Amino acid sequence: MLKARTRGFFLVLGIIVVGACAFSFFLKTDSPINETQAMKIFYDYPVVSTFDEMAEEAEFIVSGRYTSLDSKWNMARNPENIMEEDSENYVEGWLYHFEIDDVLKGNLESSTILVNHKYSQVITTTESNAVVDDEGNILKAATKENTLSFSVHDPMFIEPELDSTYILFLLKDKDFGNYYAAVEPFSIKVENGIPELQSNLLNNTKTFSEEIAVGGDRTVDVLCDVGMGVDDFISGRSLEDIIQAISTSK
Amino acid sequence: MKKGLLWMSQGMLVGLIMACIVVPMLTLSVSAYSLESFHLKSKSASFVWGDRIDTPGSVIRNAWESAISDWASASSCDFYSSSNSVNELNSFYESSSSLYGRTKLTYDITTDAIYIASFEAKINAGNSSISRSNVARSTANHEFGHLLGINDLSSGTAIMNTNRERSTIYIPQTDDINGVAAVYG
Ligand SMILES: [Zn+2]
Repeated sequence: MLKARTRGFFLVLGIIVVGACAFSFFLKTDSPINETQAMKIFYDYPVVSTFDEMAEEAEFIVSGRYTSLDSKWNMARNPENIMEEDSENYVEGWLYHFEIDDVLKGNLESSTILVNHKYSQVITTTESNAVVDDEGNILKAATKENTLSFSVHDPMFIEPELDSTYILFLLKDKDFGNYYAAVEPFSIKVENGIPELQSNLLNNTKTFSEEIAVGGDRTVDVLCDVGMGVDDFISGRSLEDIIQAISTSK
Repeated sequence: MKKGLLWMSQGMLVGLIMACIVVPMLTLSVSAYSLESFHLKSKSASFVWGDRIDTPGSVIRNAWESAISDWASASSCDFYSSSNSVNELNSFYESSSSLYGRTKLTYDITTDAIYIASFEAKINAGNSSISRSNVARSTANHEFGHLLGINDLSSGTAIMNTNRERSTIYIPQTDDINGVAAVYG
C-alpha cells in the first residue's frame, strides 16, 4: 500500500499531465475563420440643409457644362509625398472637363476646369480564427487568415450628364489644380431653365446598402451611412432667384 | 359676462399646463440623441495605433489622444492602446475631398448583431480644413460616438450633429453623454 505522501504525489502528477494535454489541445485546435458577414461604414462628410450654407461653404460657384470625362485617378495619396499614389489605399476619382459659362463666386481665370467626382473606394478587411476578448484584445493568435478586398461605390456619386447645364459649388485642390464638391449637396442641374438639386441624400435618405460578392458564393452586406439626408431646398425656386441669392451671399 | 371670464381663465390655465408639458417635449426632440443598433461590447476598448500615426506629434494623432481623454472625462468609457488589439485608429490622405473621417466596423449578423466585432476609425489628413483649430478633434470625438452606439443627428448641440460647426463643437456634449449613458448605463 502506497504511503499517503506518494499517493498525493501521483495525484498531483496526474492532474498536471491531464492539464498540460488539455492546454496543448486548446493551443492546437483550429477553430474555423469568423467570416465577415456585415460591415458598416460611417462617412463623416459636411452635409448642409440650406441653400445659404451651400453657397457659403463654396469658394467657387460656376455655371456651365460637363464636356467629357478626362481620366480616372487614385485620390488616396502618400502622405509623405502627395504627388505619389498611396500604395496601400485606392479611392477612385473621375475627373471631368467642365466648360464655364459664368463664374458666380470666386476668381477664376480659365474657362475650362477639371471637376473631380469621387466614384468608389477599395475596402480591405482581414478575417481570421483569432480568439478575441470583449475589449478587442487577441487572446489566441490566428492560425488561419483570409483577406477580403472589394470596391464600394461612394454613396454621393451621381454620374453627371454631358452637355447639360449645371451650377456647381466647389473648392479648389491647391496641389492638383482640380476642383471638387465643397459640401454635399454641391450641384444644381438646370433643365429647361428649371433648377434641380442633385443629391443621393434627397428625401432624407442617409443610408445606402450594397451586397458585395467577395468570391465563391459569399457576399458581404455593406451599409454606408452618411449621417443625414436633405430636403429639396431648391424645388420651387427660379434660376434668377438662385443667381440673385448667390450674388447677395458673396 | 362673469361666467365667460371664469371659463376663459380656466381655458387659459389648461392651455398653460399643456404648454408646460408640450413645449419642453418639442425642445427635447430637436436635440435628442439617437441610438445605433449596435455598439462596442465593453465600454473599455483596446486599439492599435495605425502605421500613419504610430509616432506621437501629428495633428491627427493629437486629435485622437484628446478625444480619448474627452470621452474618459465625459463618461466611464475608456479607449486604450494595446499592441494585440483587432481595432485600429489611423489617418489617411484623401485629396480633392471634403470627407473628414471614416469609421468601418464589422459585426456578426447571426449571433452578435448588437456588438461591434472590430473597428477601424480614420481621419482624413487630406481635408483642407483638418488643421483648423479643433476640427480633427471634433472628428475624432464624433467617430468614437459611433463606436459607443450613438447615431448621427442633423441638428442640435451635439458632437453627433453632422452639420455642426466643427471648430466650436469638438467635445462630447450633454446630449451625446446622455446617449452613451443610455447604452451602457
Ligand atoms: Zn457620423
